[in-house]
Amino acid sequence: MATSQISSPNQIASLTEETHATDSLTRLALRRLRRDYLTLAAMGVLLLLIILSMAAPLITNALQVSYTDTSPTDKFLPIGTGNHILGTDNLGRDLLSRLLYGGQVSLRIAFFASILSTTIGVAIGLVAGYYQGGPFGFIDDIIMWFITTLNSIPTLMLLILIASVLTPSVETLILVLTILSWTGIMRLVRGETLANRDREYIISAKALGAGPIRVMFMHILPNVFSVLITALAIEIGTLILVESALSFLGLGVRPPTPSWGNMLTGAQTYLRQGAHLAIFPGLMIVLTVLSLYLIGDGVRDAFDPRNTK
Amino acid sequence: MAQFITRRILWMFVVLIVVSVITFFLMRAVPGGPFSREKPLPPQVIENLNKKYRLDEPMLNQYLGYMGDILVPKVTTERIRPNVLEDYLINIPLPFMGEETYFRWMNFGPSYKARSRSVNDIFEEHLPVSFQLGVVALGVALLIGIPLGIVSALKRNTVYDYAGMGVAIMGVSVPVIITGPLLQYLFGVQLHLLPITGWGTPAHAILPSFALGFTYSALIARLMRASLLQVLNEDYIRTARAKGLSERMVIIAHALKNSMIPVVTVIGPLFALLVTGTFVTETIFGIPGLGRYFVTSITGRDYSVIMGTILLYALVLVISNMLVDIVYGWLDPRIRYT
Repeated sequence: MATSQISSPNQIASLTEETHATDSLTRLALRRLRRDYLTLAAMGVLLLLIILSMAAPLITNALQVSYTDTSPTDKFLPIGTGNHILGTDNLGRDLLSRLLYGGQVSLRIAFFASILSTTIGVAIGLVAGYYQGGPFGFIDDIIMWFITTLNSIPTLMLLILIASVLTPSVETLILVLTILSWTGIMRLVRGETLANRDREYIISAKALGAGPIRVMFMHILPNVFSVLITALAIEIGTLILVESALSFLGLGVRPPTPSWGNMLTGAQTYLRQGAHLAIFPGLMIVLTVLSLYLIGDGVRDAFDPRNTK
Repeated sequence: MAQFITRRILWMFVVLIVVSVITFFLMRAVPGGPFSREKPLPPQVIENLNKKYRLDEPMLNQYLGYMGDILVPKVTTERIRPNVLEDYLINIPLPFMGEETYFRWMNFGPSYKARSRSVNDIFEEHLPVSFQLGVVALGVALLIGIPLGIVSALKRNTVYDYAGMGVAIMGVSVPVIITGPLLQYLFGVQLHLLPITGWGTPAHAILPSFALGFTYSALIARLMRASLLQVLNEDYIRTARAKGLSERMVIIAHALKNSMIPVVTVIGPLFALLVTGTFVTETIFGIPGLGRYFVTSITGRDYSVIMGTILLYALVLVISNMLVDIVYGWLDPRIRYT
């Protein structure tokens, strides 16, 4: 019964043609991206920030500065004093190296939390969307009920509450942000799955004998990939902002461990002595988030089939 | 429609119960309690305090007692003086029941920290402040966001569009912890035009509501632009143009109303968020709102204030989402409720 749907070689040929068509859509999108200089610039900036943060130990070694050593005599050194390229902070610690190590912390929290929440959101969204309305429809009902309830809980309030229960460290922050941010991506993937699951290519895949898991992950997932990249980029940006807001309320990463959020917060007391202490962490946050949002927009536009550019 | 509203109200209760259970037990899991001090209080004092506030009872009894105080209404003739243990949010006189009969409902209990005040006292003092700030900020967000989105969509791919969306993306990616101090520095320290912190006069509201509203105006502008662009591609717009309507009429009478749907969707949660207090903005500008009080009450483990605020927020959120669903039906008659 299942195999009788593809009786002639012509249909098989048209199937392969369709795969080919998707391929060229991706290629078309990549070609559009290559001409989108704004998005390319954003990618470049982000990549540079990541590389610099990862290279923090190398850079601090080369400059012979340290991000932890305090020095009562070298407080608030201005930009470009000796080896301190960006000067020093209120405890005499080198600002550049703290920015780089702080970048490691902030980026790690945002990246890991958003990758974890995306993974959870994708898995649950695919399952919920795939089974919606069928004999296993109760799975979707339960998940949607759970999500609606979870979304009625004030997220930031809950975040503040949890952050005060668990002593804030990088790991607990990743955990907390993951728990509270997977629902958005889940809804998105569920919606896309619903839109895709009755298309011809899915029916053909089922007719060829593909099981539910294979259909979900091998056929539907690649087709929601562009939506996912966009969502992921925006998610990472948002989480960097959330981390800095939590730091501002004293519930983020605890000093002396630097993060962009707590550096910015800490510097606001010393605006008179050293405005650069606030400017640079702020600039880092804005640059990173801006790049991520621009990348998100760029990828979405590039994969938009209505885009005629 | 009536059935839809009834179902949503029942649903609201379920959500509020779940929210209360999670918050209640999560709070009790936090190390430290409302009476922990650097220098510990004498054990006898703590014991008495725990007894007074029913904190010595089993956890489940505490929860049921607390929820009972809130949910169970009371019809009483006694004139309740301002008493921290029995302060009801809703007091409606019932004249037909005889002299001085009151219907009293929603007792959120006493604050464990500010011991002469009830949670309702705290709401009364701090909620109006947050409400004012929230409403003005929402106004700013809509007033900047909607026109910006419309202009960008109508002048797509022109310099207006790029400028508008450039402003919008900056607004989304620059957080209040940066715009706040920046505005304070520029308008307060340098130009001496506006007060930096505090609350009370309209001038105090300008900087915080702008800082807060700007972030959300960017969000609204982007939504508005995307939605209007999509609507302009619809068949009924082509029909409207084909029947000879002027472009102005096409936009105003046909496109705008439908393209408002995504904007209306975000106004619901946005309203709840802004009105019940925005922790960061209130902290930066030293505004005595509920958001700032909430953060203090968490550090002070003021259980009843934390519970009360979270329940209040959830209530506002659920109600505003319900209103949004009702407005949908008016904006797009294709949406039907079953």
